[in-house]
Amino acid sequence: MIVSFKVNGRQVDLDIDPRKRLLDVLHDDLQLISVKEGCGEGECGACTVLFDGQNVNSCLVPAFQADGHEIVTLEGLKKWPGFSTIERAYLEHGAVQCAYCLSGFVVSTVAYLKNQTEQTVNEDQVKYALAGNLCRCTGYTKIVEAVKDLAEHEKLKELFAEDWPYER
Amino acid sequence: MKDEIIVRRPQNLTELDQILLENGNSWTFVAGGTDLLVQKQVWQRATHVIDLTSVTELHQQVEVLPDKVRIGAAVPYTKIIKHPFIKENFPILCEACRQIGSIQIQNRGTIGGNIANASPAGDTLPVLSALDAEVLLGPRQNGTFTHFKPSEIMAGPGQTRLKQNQYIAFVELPLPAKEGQFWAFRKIGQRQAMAISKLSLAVLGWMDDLLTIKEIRIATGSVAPVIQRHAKTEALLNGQTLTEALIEKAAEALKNEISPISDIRSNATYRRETTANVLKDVLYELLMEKKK
Amino acid sequence: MKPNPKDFRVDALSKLRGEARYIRDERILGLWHGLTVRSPHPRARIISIDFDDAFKWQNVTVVTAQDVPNNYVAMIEKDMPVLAEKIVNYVGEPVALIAAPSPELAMEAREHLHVQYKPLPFIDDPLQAEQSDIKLYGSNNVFKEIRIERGDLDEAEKTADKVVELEVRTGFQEHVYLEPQGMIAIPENDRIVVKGSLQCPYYVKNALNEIFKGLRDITVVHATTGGAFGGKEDFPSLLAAHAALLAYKSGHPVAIFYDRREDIQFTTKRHPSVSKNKVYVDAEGKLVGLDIEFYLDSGAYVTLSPVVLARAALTISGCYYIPNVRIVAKAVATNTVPSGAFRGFGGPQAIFTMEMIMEELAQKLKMDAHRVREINLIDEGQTTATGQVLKYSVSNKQTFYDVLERSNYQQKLNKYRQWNEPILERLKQGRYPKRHPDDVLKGIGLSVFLHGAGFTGGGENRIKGKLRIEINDNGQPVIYSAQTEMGQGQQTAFRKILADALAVDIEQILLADVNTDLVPNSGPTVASRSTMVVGSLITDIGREMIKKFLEELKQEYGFPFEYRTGYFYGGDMVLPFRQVAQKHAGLIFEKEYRHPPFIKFDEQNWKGDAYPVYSWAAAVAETEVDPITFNIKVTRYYTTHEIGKAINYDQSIAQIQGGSLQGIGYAIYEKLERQNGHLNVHGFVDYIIPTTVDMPFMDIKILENPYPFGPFGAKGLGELPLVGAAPAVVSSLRMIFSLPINKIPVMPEDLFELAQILRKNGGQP
Ligand SMILES: Cc1cc2nc3c(=O)[nH]c(=O)nc-3n(C[C@H](O)[C@H](O)[C@H](O)COP(=O)(O)OP(=O)(O)OC[C@H]3O[C@@H](n4cnc5c(N)ncnc54)[C@H](O)[C@@H]3O)c2cc1C
Ligand code: FES
Ligand code: FES
Repeated sequence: MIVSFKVNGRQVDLDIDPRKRLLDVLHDDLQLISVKEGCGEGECGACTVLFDGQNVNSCLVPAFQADGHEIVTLEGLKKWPGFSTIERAYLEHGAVQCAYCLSGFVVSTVAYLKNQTEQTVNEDQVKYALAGNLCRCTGYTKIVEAVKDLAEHEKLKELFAEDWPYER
Repeated sequence: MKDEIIVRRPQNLTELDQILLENGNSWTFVAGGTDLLVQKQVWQRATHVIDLTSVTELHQQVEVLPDKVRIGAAVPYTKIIKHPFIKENFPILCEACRQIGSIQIQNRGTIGGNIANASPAGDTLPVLSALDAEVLLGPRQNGTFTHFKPSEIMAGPGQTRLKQNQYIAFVELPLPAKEGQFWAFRKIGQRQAMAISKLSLAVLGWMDDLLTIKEIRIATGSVAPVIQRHAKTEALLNGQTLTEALIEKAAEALKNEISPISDIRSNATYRRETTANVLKDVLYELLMEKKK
Repeated sequence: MKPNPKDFRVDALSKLRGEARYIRDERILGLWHGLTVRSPHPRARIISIDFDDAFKWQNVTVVTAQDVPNNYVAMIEKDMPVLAEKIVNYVGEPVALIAAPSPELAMEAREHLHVQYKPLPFIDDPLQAEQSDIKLYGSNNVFKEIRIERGDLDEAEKTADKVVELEVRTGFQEHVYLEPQGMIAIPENDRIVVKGSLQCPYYVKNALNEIFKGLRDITVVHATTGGAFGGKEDFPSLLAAHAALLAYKSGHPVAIFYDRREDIQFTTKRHPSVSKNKVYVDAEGKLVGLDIEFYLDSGAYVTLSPVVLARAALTISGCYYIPNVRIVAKAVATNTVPSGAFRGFGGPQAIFTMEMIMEELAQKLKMDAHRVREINLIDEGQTTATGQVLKYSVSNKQTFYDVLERSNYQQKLNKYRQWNEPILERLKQGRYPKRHPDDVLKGIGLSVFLHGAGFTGGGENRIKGKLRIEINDNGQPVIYSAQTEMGQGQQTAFRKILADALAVDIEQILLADVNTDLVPNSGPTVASRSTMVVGSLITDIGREMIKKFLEELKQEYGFPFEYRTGYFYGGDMVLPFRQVAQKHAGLIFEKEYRHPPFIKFDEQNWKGDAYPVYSWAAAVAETEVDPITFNIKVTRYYTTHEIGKAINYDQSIAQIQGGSLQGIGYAIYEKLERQNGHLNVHGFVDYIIPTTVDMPFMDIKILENPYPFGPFGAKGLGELPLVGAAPAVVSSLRMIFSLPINKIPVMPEDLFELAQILRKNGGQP
């Protein structure tokens, strides 16, 4: 069946097997290799992408559900001016190890920062926001520290407001 | 070769009902997909699929009516959690939704899916039960939905009494009185997030200043093949003054009223005792708070 | 604390940008997909393999035992077949392979391939294995038996004031590398190239060389690897063999990518252990004797069990001085998926066992848990159970005292005991246990642990790891090693070691891709050996390189030069390293590893220097237990690690954080049991690892006590953090309940049962 949606700002029209998961279409057909499969069951978050601005597990979304919607993957986040700040925080905090989990974490980080409405940041909120992303290497400490720093980053809020290149 | 698969994405209820009444196909519904796509066998074998997230009323609608709220069965949890009216009037439901899976799951998962999946560990089910929710089933007959209680829909683990091609359209929650209201939702799982319930307990009740329980509703999840309300325990508490002795009696009663199972996640003894202890905990906390 | 930008990982940016290519990200034209047909029985005879006519078999390739040139996976022994031929020995044992142009077609083919079995009785309990009539291995199903004896236990019995006996058990643990196993094999004329997610390219190459002896040459290429933890040490040899066989027979490149279910059920696990222990102590609580019978449940085939067993046996008594010891350790066969390498490699089981012995002693002697440990800690100059005299870099006491002090252990212990008293009292009386809504039981516990750096015994001298460094045309040294990056930071560490040795920037140093056609066999990336063993080759070569350049400069200019901070100084000339090196483009340095000569180990009698040196650590865990649900939360975790020298401080901290949480998972989350020959988990739904909200606050300190024969004094680090986390957590739970808990994982249901005991007996066990 034909599905049409936006990926990282680009309109795509694909003829797909309706049983395919969004994950398969992104990773295999569109070669967006940042989207990883760690479990295929919604448990690990390695396949996390933005679906209309919200983080979802692309392994649980039938690809046809993307029709008419907007998908953003890590490849697309790189086009946003705020990305370098996020990258820098992960780098400086030493939050990278095998990194199979990492693109999922970065997407969830962006979703959290973008959708977060609370005035003050506390660690528990950050942890809760990232609980759908498993990591076996880092023990999470450095990742949570990085995201906590980012949540306090004033400039980033502006960049979401003004320079977000996508519709949602 | 694999069977062909037909997918329909109706835009509204009328279209949806038309498809269902049209011909003799047996349709599989998909909403958030967070249960269906995990069940790979079922998903792979489906030949006729209807996407409920394309149906505007089901996916978008939270309608505030004079004495109740009507929530589209395919509205994702996140939207429910953030809805100001639901937040204000049904905090117990928000709490249950917040404890489901992860943010990713909450962004897709739906109440309709939770009910239709009929897992004893479905976290909204005890809460819906305590809220005396009504479930509206389509397709409409002569323009009206069929009404059910959530507990009537669940037949056993993974089994519902939904007929072929029958779908959940809305969940209606009668507005509970605010005066003297107390509530608790407790979910016990192996870890603090992303946990499947070993047991869960929903309590909703009303009490006056003299600690007399006017009404209490108690429902449990995961401790039996289906979600249950516990009428005997409720009856024991209704109209009584909350005291330590009463709490102990109620916990005993609940212990006798449930028949939990042993499985990979826990064992029956733990479940039985702990369910009763969690009820105790809820009621003692209430007592401590009121005495303050 | 943020790291020094100089310590940023060299692989971080490509990973952060999602550009690193893992094996599933390879694009290979005409790639076929392979899958595995597996035994549904724990043990059965294969009667027949039938292909039904309803399927067009010419469109796919099927491989069975008949197609395997030499049907064994060469590891320590050759007992494990690549594909089962007559008998299957565990649920999930590979019986046939199918490859097809698409995964769907391969799956369809599987539906049409029918294997008939005759189920046979099987071994389900490691303690029954030796006596069983069923023979899986040799005459008694013992893959390996090790006896370590020292002193005289009869003597211990005479002098002892008290004897304590206990049984200790540890469960399976799954690695949960986030990237499931995956491998691609590409046929090329007389060669098969295998590329995949793996730890030890030469293990794979050697295994495949034997299978395809005389038929094909083998090249193994390492792909970016998404975590391993030992799980990609031994297992990839089997998986690579499968992919290679399908490629060999079909003539197409073939990928086998496991999904999580397949991975969690049918790849190696950490060995469960059971031990029967008897300890003798004098009146003050000093250990005078230790008698241990220790079993590792090894699964159906030998794999690496003998060496895992050796490390366990050599680690058990490690942190304590005990004059009389008998350790009888056995790796036994069961009809289960083979257990294999896993971070810690027998160490976690051994340390858990010993630490529970100390806990039990404390309880029986009515001493504080940390006191019993304190008076028995081994120190420099003392001898271990194998008679090794500890000479270098011994920091057992330092880590112990440091962690107690930093965590404020003693004060909290007293405070928490007082705090818990009324709650426990109410639990005993069967009353509602809380005084206020957020009342919890608070525990604090500790553990002392160590890890031998590098291979056990004479392992390093057998492997003879070789390293090569070449100067490229730009004057940059390129390191050629078979060591692999799987997330632990090996690439950064190696480049940094050479950069530091040469006093140049890390960007000046390059690392060759790991491909067995290019890099020498510097040995496997295991056993926390890369930094200490291979790293020491790097610093040695670094030194040689400078020496060589100084000589050449003297020749050329006629006066002596000196090398400092990246520059050669001579006369009034100052030459940067790179300029000098460029003149020697193409120059090659090679070196082979040897243990320092004084290190001697007798493998027949298990006597001598089991490891050249040990890394030391101690940990304190604080937990909260809900008195209603008995849910456990580790709230704070303190640990002090002494690792010789932290090559990259920040990455060392990261390793400790990750390893510690894996150990905490081992203690209270990760449950995997065998039921009737089947493992009872199917994925992440029922194999529970900690998430962000489950992680404790971690407070980590690294001490440095340089080891003279490691690069800059470094010893090993990778495995140590996992080794001691579980006993610290369980120690804190024992502190709360003052009752024995001698097994992991500990579940709320177990604590619930303890509370029932408290209630029944008024607190007496
Ligand atoms: C990682 C993970 C964690 C989870 N954690 C929790 C948890 O903590 N608590 C919990 O309760 N659940 C949990 N779940 C389960 C799941 O998310 C919920 O049950 C969710 O509510 C399902 O909704 P859905 O819209 O995704 O259902 P779908 O997967 O779309 O559908 C589920 C089933 O219901 C049917 N169906 C869906 N909508 C309708 C309808 N309107 N009418 C008729 N039939 C319908 C489908 O045909 C299918 O059989 C988890 C799942 C995952 C993958
Ligand atoms: S692959 Fe989608 S959540 Fe794990
Ligand atoms: S860095 Fe390896 S799983 Fe997160």
